This record gives sequence, structure tokens and C-alpha cells, in this order.
Amino acid sequence: MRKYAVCSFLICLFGLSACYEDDSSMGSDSVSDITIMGLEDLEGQSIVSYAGNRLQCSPVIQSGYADGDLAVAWYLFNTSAEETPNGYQDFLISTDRNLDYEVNLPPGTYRLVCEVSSLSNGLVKTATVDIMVATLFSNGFYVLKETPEGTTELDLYNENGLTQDLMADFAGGALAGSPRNLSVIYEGEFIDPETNETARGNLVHVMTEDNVYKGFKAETMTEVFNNENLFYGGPMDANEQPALFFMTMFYNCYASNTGIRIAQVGGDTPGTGKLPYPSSDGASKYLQIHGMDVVYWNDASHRLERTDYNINTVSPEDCGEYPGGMECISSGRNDNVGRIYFLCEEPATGDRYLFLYSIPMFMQTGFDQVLQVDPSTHLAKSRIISGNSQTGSYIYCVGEDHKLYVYNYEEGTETEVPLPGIDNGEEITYVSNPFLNIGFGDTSANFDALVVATRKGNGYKLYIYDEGMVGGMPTKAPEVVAEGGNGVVRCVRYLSPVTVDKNDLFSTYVYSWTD
Amino acid sequence: MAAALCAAWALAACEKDLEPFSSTDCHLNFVYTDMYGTVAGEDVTDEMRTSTYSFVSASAGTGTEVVRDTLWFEASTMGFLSDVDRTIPLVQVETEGRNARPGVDYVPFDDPGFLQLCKVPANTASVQVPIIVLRSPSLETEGDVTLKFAFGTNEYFSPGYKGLTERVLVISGRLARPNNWEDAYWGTYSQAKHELMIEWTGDAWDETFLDELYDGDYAYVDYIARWFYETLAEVNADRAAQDPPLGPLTDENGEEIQFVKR
Repeated sequence: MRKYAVCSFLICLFGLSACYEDDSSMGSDSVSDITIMGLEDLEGQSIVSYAGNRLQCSPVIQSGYADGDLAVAWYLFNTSAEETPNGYQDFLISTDRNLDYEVNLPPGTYRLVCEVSSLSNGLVKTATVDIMVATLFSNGFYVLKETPEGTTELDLYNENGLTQDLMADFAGGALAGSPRNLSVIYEGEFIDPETNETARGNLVHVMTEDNVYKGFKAETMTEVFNNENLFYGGPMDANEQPALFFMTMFYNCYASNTGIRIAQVGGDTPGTGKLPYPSSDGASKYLQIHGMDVVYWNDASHRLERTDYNINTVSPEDCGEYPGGMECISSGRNDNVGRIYFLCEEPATGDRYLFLYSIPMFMQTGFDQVLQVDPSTHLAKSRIISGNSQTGSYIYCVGEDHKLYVYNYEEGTETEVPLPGIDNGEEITYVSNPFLNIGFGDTSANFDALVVATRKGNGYKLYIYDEGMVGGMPTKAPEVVAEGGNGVVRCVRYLSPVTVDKNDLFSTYVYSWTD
Repeated sequence: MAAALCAAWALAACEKDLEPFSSTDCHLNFVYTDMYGTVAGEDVTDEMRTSTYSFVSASAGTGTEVVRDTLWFEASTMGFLSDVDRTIPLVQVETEGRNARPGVDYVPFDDPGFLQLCKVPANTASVQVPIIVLRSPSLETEGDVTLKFAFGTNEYFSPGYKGLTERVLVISGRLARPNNWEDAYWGTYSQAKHELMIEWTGDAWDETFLDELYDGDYAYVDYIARWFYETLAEVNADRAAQDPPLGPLTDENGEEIQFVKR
């Protein structure tokens, strides 16, 4: 018995040793490591594409190999692109040791890979860094302004400074009518006139009180939509009042006085972005996502309404008793304090009412309450109003004294907001709290700012408070002050070249689309 | 015993050289789809295996009387590619009811002209399998016929996976419910409704047309569905305004025709 056990044991040893037979031909006495440094200097950088700008990097490569034994390759790919068979190696841009590459790429977040390999033993090491690629128009604060002639123009402020009067350059001139609204859409779908094929890209939509509408591909400010081609049913009727473009997880959406129209997006191939019939009987630019529903003010019926996520069924909100014939003048949403508001005014009396919702997570709770705004407050009289989006239960409003106040809708109190850097007496024409709150993907572009615009002659000054904000109030002078001409600011929206993951739209806002 | 087991484990744990794949057997499978794309394996249903072809719909779509037409069914190969064209073997499978007759309702699978079409081109793994249907007078006098066909065996191919090697084609001389008709968009099917859709748009509204429609922009599908709803409302309003007033349009069963308000 013992003999058999010993034999079995020896067979085990033999079997196991056979498993360790090394057929490798790569073995050498020693393998030197490779260290790559220098890419970290590019971290967080943004580079403007199609402008002759070059991506440059001179890496410091430390190893025990002779220089002639090392091969360097550079790769650059969009982090939101679909995976390819060879991964990053399908996107070679240079085999020079020092990178010097002119960037002519669509906007987005790109990953730069520096690959260093030993020619003698095949050892490969990589270093990576993410950079932002933008075009002249794909990134920044779009400023919708009313010209002295009462028409609508569009400016853009970004790291390149202020680019003015984009409608003159890209739409043949200022648009008839004073500004109604400005909307941005991430990953919109459209037919690209440059290729005559469907495509995806960020869009900027301009709407005026004369019902003029134009939609632009932000990357190049190419007009892709207008009153004539947005609807499958043909040109807009003369009474169509374009009011708002917004996004949900599955749809790109449009709201007007005739209702809400939606187009499913995100399929394997982009759609045309054109819209079918409306799925409700009226709407306005005051609209918010509430749980799995959409709640909005219907201008035609002068009431709040609710529809489901697919805009299939519409029902009036049960808000109790409130005056008829009201008009909505402001709406906002704050995910962090969990509130949605609609501020409405009774034209006959000037009385204002605040409709408040709590924001549920996956719950279908209803409307909370409607309050009459104390007539002695600034909110009861202000014409320049916008909600705080991230940090407080506030509504910003400009008083008749040209000072900025916050109305706390939980307490019904008002507090003056100091505006360091803005002279007393400057006429404020616009205020808002733009933000970017990417959750999935590149969060480096996230921000939360207070934008204040004042009138200066026939032009304006734009103050952007970003750092130093505490509870929605600035504590120091703004980093950015831009001066523009030919108009008074009526609306500001921020657009980033980052990719917005649809999962981000499930329960929170990535950016605000109302004032 | 334990030692023997250890020895067996030790030997089994050793690396074994594997032979590269060398089988020359090649097989064929059909590719099935639903409204949302390709469906595979156990998810394939009899409904996906069944198609309907209507000479009436096809004639409406072309504006001429169609008496002979070629339908294409997507298939894919298993096994090595070939540097020569390979004929696809097809066989008819008998079913209950009226079976399609070779040479009368469809071009026979051994027809020399048909064999020139029915092949996997060299160096390809995917193919469109043709079926050439013929319009027999008996379709209108005696009703629809069914052609159930499957991959057979020849020197190049044999059938692939069970459940993925057969298709059923209903050949009709009347309007028939397309297999990819979606009630959610077009409502309950009726011949009268189908005729209205063809009359109002001039399109075939057969399976091929619907496949192309679903393959495009869903917003456009929503638009067309609603357009039918709105158009019917206008037509019924005109009928109600007649003197004497006419009732809403009804189908062959006396039911009011209704479209979906998308």
C-alpha cells in the first residue's frame, strides 16, 4: 500500500513538473522597466479644434534601454466612441518621440495614449491623459440678447473671448422679434447639410417672440432646423410659438403653445431629429421633469398639466383653488434641495402665486402646495427672475432698486445678494444660475455659477461668478466680466463639448433649461 | 485511492496542445428579425419565421399588376469561407392546408435559372436567399397557399441549428396582415383599413415596406401613425356633414375603423 502511495506521489510530481515546462522564448536575464512622465501636464486642458491649434507633448522616458531600442507611438481617441477591434491602437496619430499634432477633431473628451515599447524584448508601457476638444462654438456661455431694434442676436463667451452677433454670420442677420428663449441640446439628431446624412451633435436653438426659430449644429454653427423643416407635417403654422427644447432619457423634446413633441433618440443610427404631431394640447417654456412625469404650464388653458415620460396621457394638475387666467413667468428645479417651482401671475390684479413640488426619487408623489407671494416682497413685483439650481431653496429676483435678492420659498423671506464687482446702480437685465452636473463620464467640466448681466449703453456687461460661491451667493468679484455690444441680455445658456450619458437624465438634471 | 486521484488531477492539470479547427463541414442558418432588430437562438418565434406576401399589396406599391416577384431571406453560413460560389440547397416542407405548388405558385428550387440566384458568393458568410413567387389564378379562387421551406443538404452545406433553418411564406392573392404589423402603431388589422392606408399613401404597406419604415426614424413612424388618425377623423367628419349624414368608415366585419392616436 505504501509502495502504491509513493508511486502515486512520484507520478504527481512528474505530472506537475511537466506542467511547468517553459516554452517561452522571451526570457532574458533581466527586464528593465519603462517609466513615462510628462502627460500629466496636459490634464484638464481644453484645445480648440479646426483652428490650427497643436497638441504637443515632450515626454520624459526613463528606462534601462538604449534610446535606439525604444519605439514611441501616440494614439488619440474619443472616449465615448464605440470600442474597436484593436482598442486604442486603432487611433494612431504619431510615431515621433515628441508629439506635435494639429487638432482637427469633432468636440468631445479624448484620451491621449503614449505607448513606449522595447524593440529588443517587446515590453510595452503606456501613459494616458484625457483632454477636452472643443470647436470655436462647441463650448461656452451662449448669450441671447435683444438688439436696440428689438430683434434677436446671439453672442458666445468662452476661453477665446466674446464672439458677437452669430445670427448675422450664420443666419443672414438678426432674427425678427425680441428673444423668447434659448435652448441647448446634447447629442441631438439632425440631417447634416454638409454630408446630407443623419448625424448626432450638440444643438443650439434660438426662438423669438415673432415665432422665428432656428436650430444650429453647435460644432460649426450650421443651421440644421428652422420653422420650415422641424416638423414632419410640414412648415410651422403662423400661430406656432416655439418655446423650449429639452431632453429626457429617451427623447429629444420640443414644447410650444400647441403642445409637446418628442423624437426618440439614441438608436444605432441617428434619426432626422424632425418631430411628429404634438402629444398634448398646449404647453410653454415652463416645464420640468417630476419623477417619471413631465409637469408644465399650459399657456392656452392657463393651468399646470402633467404627462407621462412618453408624453402619452395628459391630465390637469390638482392644485386646489387658484385664480383662472394666470400666466407663468418663471420656473426652476433644484435637485439638491428637492424642489420644483412655477411662479405665476394673475394679469388683472398682478398677484403672484408660487406652485411648489417636491422631487421624488422613483416615487410618483403629487403637487405640494400653492402659495400667494407676499405683495410686499421683491418677488411679487420683479420682472427678472430665475431659480437657484443647486445650493438653496431660492428664487433670484431683481428689485426695483436694481439690487439682487433671493426669495426663500421655504420661509417666505428675502435676502439681498451682494454682487461684488458690480457697481451700485448698474441696471441688471438678467440673472440665472447655470450649471453642469455630469454624473456618468467626464465630470471635470462640472460647474455651478451665477450669471448676472447689466445694461451698458446699447450693450451689456456679463458677470460670471463661479469660484467663491457660498450657498448660491458670490463672496468675491467674478473671474469673468465680458462686455458686449449691440444688445441687452435676455437669456444665457452654457454648452459643453462633453458627452452627456443618457443615464444622467434618469432622475436628475445635467443642466437647467428654464429661468 | 487519494494518491491515485491526485495523480490523475496532476496529469489533467497539465497544458494540452489543442488542434486547430479543421472541420470542412459548413451549415446554413436563417437570420430572423423583429421590429427592433436581429433575434437569435431561443428567442426566435414562429411568428418571426413566418412571412406573408400579397400580390395585391405589391401591385399597389408598384402601380402595376405584379405576377412574379422575388423575395429575399437573410441567412448566414457556419464554417470556413470558400473561394468559389456555393449553391444553397432548399427543400419544401409539407404543411397542413394548401401547400404551394412548384412551378405554379413558386419557381422550383431545382430550376436552373433559380439555382443561378440561390448561392452563397465566394468569400462571404452572409447571403440573401431568394424565393420567386408566381401569381396563380387559384390564389383568388381558392385562397392563400403556404410555402414552408428549409435548408437541405448538398456537397457544400447542411442545415444549421435546430429552429433556425426553416421559414414559412404565406402567398396571398388578397390583402393580408403583414407579419410585422404592429397594433401599437396601426391599430387592429382589417383589410378595409389596409386598403385605406394603401389608397391614401400609394405605398404597399407590406412586410418589406414596413421593415424599411421601422428601420428608419421612429419619430417618422409616430408621425405617420398619427397622420392616419387625423386623416380618418377628417374623413369621418366629412361623412357626418353629408345630407343625410353618413356614419364613420367601417371594415369588412362591420367594425368602425380606428387608428391609434400616437
